[in-house]
Amino acid sequence: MREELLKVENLTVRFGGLIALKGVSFSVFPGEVLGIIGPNGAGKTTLFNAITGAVIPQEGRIIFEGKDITSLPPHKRARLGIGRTFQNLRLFSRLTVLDNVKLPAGSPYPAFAPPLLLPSFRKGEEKLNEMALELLEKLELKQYKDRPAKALPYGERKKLEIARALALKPKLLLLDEPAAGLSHQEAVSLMEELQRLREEFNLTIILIEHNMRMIMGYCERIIALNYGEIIAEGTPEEVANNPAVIEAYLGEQE
Amino acid sequence: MSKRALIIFLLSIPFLFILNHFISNPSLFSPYALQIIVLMGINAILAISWDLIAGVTGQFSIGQAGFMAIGAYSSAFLTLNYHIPLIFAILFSAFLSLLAGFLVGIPTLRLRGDYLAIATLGFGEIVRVAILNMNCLGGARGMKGIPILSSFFSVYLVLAISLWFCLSLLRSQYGRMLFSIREDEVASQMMGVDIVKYKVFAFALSACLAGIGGALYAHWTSFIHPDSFTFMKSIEIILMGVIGGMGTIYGAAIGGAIVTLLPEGLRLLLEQNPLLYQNKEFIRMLFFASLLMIFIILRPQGIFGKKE
Amino acid sequence: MNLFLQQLVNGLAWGGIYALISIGYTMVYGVMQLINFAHGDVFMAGAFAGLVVANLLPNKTSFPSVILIFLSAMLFSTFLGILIERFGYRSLWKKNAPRLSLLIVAVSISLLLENGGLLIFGAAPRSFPQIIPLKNYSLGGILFTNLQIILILTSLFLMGFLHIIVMRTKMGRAMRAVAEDSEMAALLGIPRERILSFTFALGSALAGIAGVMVALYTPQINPLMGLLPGLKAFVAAVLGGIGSIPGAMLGGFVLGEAETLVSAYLSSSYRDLLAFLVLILILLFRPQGLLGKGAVEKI
Repeated sequence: MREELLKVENLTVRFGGLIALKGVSFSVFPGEVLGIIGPNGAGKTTLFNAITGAVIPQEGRIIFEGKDITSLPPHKRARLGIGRTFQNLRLFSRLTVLDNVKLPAGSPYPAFAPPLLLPSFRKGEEKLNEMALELLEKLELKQYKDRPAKALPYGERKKLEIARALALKPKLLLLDEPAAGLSHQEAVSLMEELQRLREEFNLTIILIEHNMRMIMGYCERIIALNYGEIIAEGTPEEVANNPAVIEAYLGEQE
Repeated sequence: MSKRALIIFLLSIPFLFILNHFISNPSLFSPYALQIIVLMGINAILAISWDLIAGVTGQFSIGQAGFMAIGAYSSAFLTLNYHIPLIFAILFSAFLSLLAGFLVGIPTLRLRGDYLAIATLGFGEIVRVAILNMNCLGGARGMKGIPILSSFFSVYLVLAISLWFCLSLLRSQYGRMLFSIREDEVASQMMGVDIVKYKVFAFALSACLAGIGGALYAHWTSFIHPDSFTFMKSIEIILMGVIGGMGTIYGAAIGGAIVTLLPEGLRLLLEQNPLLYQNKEFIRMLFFASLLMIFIILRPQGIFGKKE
Repeated sequence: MNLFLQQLVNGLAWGGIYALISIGYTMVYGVMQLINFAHGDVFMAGAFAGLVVANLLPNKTSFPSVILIFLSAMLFSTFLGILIERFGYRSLWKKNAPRLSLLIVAVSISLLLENGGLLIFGAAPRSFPQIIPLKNYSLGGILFTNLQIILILTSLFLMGFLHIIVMRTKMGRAMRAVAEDSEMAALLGIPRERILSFTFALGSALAGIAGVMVALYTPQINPLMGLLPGLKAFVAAVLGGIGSIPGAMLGGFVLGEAETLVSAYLSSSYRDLLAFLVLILILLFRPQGLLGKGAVEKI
């Protein structure tokens, strides 16, 4: 029995009278790519919010690498190795592309080092610079390094979100609709880059997507949500042929 | 910070020292102009203190006057009663206001940003009322006869050091963290930043600088009174930061200089008309408030900030 | 016991006043997430508008005169509130300006109103004419005046009226929708700008009436009179749960009562400090207020 990287137990999230997630339980194993599908409002992003700590569940537990992180604040979860991107892109708009990617790496030197020009500051900044440039290079964003994040075209900004999340050196990467708004070409090349990055950084990925071709093509396992509950779980073929899933998507565009 | 910046900073020290000899000499330089110039320096320090928490970290604090008062009164108390040198008085008041910054910041910065405004407003008032009721600090009579230990050199030296310190911080990972808090608190947390810790850090630093500004102020004007540290003073400081350009630090310093000059210009205008002159305080505040609004709505980046 | 009941009755009048002002804060916060610092000064403007009209009327104590005075205060404040929203906040709100900018504008407007008032009317307090001749009553050993009755009844009536508007009318429903989820409301075609004006108008109207009420109750008014009640009403809104209208009403009455009791049993000089103390306690122990649900941010 493989050791789970992430285990979600009986997660229930309520907003006022609305139930966003109900009794959701599943596991994610190291190295796999898990897809989450479901119609709009099914609770997919809420699930990400609960895992990363943006939202506190009313019931249930979240266990990461054997540790119960349910009440851990978001920044600590990020440090443990959970990175994410946002559906609506939440870049640090006025910071440069390079700074966006440097930020998640934490503080390699104490606060008094910069004013005193201590060697730890110089060395720390060099390392940060190296790390950030490397990531930008991998995602083909290096040419934008000194531009403010908001100046980038949409597709590049989506890649920047990923680069930024990778700077955390995450073990688990949560991608919220990374291909949304991209053309088919762009989506395919993005997925190929993700594949490479996954191998290189030994990532485990959970992916929310509406693009069925992408999900079916790149995910080993899929979980389908509807109205906050899991309605199907299994391989892409199993889930695609599941009658409950088909019914949930009746009327939904691909 | 670049090597070039370091050289400029280090060279400025002897430069200021030499300049001080000329400027402080009443037969060589107008004492009135000296007054203005030193006040410009003090206000620059205060403006920087506000910019650090508001422009850089995005937290709206209206309490600078409160921390300024703590710095002013604590240092003045020491020099008046124990005749200690200015440097130690400043260090003490810096420490005290830093402490106050932590005390106020830790409970309030856990909450939504809007509450900070009210909390700092309340804090400023509480400090002012407390001082009014403390006879050992002069109470409603104010504190007079404070030794004039500040000078052009000391004020501008502190300004240079503050600029160096803050700008170094901004151009480091800590600056990125503070800016990220301003840009998007949620995303910042998701990227591993402990936003409460760093908000408190910036707030306490901001309080400390305001306290230092207060200490320098007290030892320049020789007389302080709780009425000098009202909510209006906090607003003036905010105006300095807004005009100069929030988030740039050096912009705030220049804003401080500009806003110091404005009342002088206004005074010259109003002196022509006795009726207006009677109401000069109200007109001054009307002018400041209008300026603040105009800038925030039409040119929020101030003079030196980057366009949104 | 009698003293206690007496103080409870006394506290009701102030409670009603705070509640009226506090509703304005909470409604604006609900739709814009903004603490409208200028709201207390709109309250002050109402009082002065009432003063100006009252001084113009020959027969002040007649019923139509009283109505006219209240009405003009209400209309003036409403007009002022709409102006403030339109020229102060709207442009910033539309371009999604950072919260900081809106708060700075709020403070600036507050200063403009105060100093404008000081310039026009001077700093010295002005007496408000006694348009409702005072009559004392006694019931079971408890004293109260006709003014108190009128104030309390008016507050309750206005709150009831507001409740109907918010719950039963189309505008009211739209307002609640915008407060709940602004983006969704826009997607549903709700004209957010009109709702903003409406919200400001409603809150300001109540504040204006409260202004005249205070002017009658403590018959001296001055341009800075909005500061303290404004702050207290804000604390009341936070106490009840910022964004919640019933919370604002509850908070207003609770604060009004608490102030009166503290003033009676401890000392009147602590009266004003109570609001600060309540604020600190609430922020430390229950920041969402008595009736508030924790605010949830949609990511």
